[in-house]
Amino acid sequence: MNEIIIAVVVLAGIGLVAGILLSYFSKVFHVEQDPRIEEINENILPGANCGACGYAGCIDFARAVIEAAQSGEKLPECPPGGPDVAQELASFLGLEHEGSERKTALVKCAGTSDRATERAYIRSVHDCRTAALFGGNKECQYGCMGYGDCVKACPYDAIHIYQGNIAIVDPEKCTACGICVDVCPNDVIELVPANRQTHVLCNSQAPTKATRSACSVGCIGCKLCQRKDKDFSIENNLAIYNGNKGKEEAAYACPNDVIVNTWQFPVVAFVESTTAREKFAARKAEYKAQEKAKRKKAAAARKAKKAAAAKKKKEDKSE
Amino acid sequence: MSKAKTFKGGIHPSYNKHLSEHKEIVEAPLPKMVALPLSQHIGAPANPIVKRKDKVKSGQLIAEAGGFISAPVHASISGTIKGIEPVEHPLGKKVDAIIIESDGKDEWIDLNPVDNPFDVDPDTIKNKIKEAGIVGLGGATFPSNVKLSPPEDKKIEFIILNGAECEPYLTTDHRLMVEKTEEIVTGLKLAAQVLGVNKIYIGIETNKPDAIKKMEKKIGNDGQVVPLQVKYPQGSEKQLISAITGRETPPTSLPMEVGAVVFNVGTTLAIYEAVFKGKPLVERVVTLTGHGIKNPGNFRTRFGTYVAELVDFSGGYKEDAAKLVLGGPMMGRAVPTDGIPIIKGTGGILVMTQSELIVREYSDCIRCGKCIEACPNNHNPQLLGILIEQEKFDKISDEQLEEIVLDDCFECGSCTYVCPAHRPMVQFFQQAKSYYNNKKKKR
Repeated sequence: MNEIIIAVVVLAGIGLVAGILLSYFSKVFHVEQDPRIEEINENILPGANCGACGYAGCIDFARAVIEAAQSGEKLPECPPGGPDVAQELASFLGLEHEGSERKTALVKCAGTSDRATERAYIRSVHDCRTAALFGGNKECQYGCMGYGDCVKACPYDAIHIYQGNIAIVDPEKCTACGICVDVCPNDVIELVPANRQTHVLCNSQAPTKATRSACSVGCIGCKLCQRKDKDFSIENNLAIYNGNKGKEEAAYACPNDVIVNTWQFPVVAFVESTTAREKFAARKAEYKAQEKAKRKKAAAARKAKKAAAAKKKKEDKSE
Repeated sequence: MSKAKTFKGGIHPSYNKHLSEHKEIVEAPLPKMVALPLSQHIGAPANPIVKRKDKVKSGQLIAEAGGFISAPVHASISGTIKGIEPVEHPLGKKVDAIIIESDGKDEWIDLNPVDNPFDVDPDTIKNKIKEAGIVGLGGATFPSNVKLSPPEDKKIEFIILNGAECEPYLTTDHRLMVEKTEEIVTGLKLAAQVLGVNKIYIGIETNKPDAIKKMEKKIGNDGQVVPLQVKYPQGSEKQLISAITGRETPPTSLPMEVGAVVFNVGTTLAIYEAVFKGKPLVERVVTLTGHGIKNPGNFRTRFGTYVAELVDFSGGYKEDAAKLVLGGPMMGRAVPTDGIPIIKGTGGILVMTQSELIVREYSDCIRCGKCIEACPNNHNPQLLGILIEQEKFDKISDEQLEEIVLDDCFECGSCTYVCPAHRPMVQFFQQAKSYYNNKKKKR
């Protein structure tokens, strides 16, 4: 019994002494830290420690934010957090917020395995970057190879590969951290403004003939979309959309159905689902028929006008 | 004959040279169409100077060198330019190529050989070699005129002719040394004179006794033929220098660092033809071999000839042909189609049969250390392989990766060959290289 009491007393004594010493030294050697750092880290930042901002984790970013605020410099940006976090940070620090545009990643390829021509089955290679060394698995050298390096790299589970062997970004989950853009060897992934509703789903800069033989949904640089909508531009045989919401006519004008309007079909549906494609084809046919009817009417009108003019001329003459 | 020399490490694969080593070089017929990629060499791609529907003659310059480390491209047949299109390239990615349709006449341009080459100043010779578009024909395709112009502070002491031909199956260098001995030796002596070197070594593996004999007779007292042990990769530049001179080339540096310049057999022949006959580099000898081909042999082929056309000429594939490899079995690359042109770096075409394609499941590294013994460059493939397999790239610093994996590992495949766990070591290193290159590109 005695031993137990002694042990308890000794332990309690050690604990007491150590506690006093610790509390004393913590006062003496106290390091002043801005309490705001901890608060920013815990309450405002996403806390994923993804490193997209260029700092070593969120706590380091928080420190950088405080430093920038104290020296009056521009605050560093948290790409995953986007404008919301930037707004919160600014109001927390009592600074004015300059708006920054929210972005999302987009895989610019719709060449699923049934649409793109297969070039080679690369045995023993199971990642895009190595496959790129050997020229890739598809005839097209610019498209998505579908081995999923970006899927593995994405810290937010925002990219998936479905049936068609194409990576597709979920815009809801994407935070535009840009990691996927870095790992993609073919530069298929691009960060686009999140509110953009029209996308060109192709990355092929090959000449028309090569693109045609490589893929049934490749952009051949024909410029038909540009005729309908001035927001499209053609660079290196590839259409690029620069606006926010494109005209429907442009999508219908495209001979290879490369352009998607997200208010009609989400990107996933447009790439993966055959029913969506069929619906699109039906609408396109309808539009084409209307156009044709319009042209016919216009032609008839022109003809009638011409006939009337000729008749008038004749009458003038006879008079 | 003194004891054959060699380097540390290496392996002994089955050579299979008997398929074609005693077959004389045959002139392949003129191809009907050629595709000449603008990038057949290390360095900047060439810039085309012809248009669609232009008429060209054999040997005419059709693309100029795109920089200092670059080489021009010449038309290999006479005919009409059909266009500039992307074609399959033996090294993977598609590249732009000039397509020429033959007119069947093979009209040549006027050839301007150099008179008395041993008496003119070295720059004239270097210029001639540069204009002829000569690159190292051993496979690395490094422009030869750059090799012949070392910086002034580097003193070159040796010139070495690489007649090792350690890659299994291939016999082009062997046949050339036997059939074109005089031309090769003259080209070599000329290169030595341009560099101002008087020590000439000729390294030949002992499995080519006829070549050793002929070369010894021809070179006489002007150089020394060094018999080398039959071991792979004896024909790699750094290993060859180590075997012959005992000097180790440091990682990430060129052989000129240790005072040596190495030329391939085919390259010296090309130098001879360019200088003494004025012929630009438009053809090479290719070994078409393997158990999947009916009549293996050595063919003198114009560049840009499609593999399919050459195979047809030789007699076609056997029924069980299953895989096409450009180059040898150790360092060559499997290609997806035979609609691929033969370029300056293509030394061999290997057709493998279904029964030769064994794919084994690989297991975890058992740390036996065989790859460390086999590595000719003193690396630790097992450790690097494990780190890469687990994608622990953070444990390898960028500098290490660049120095060890990127520059020094030349993917000889010795580690893969000896691994009892069948681990695809070279594939791991290729993966690391591509990851690193991608990272560097995006930075």
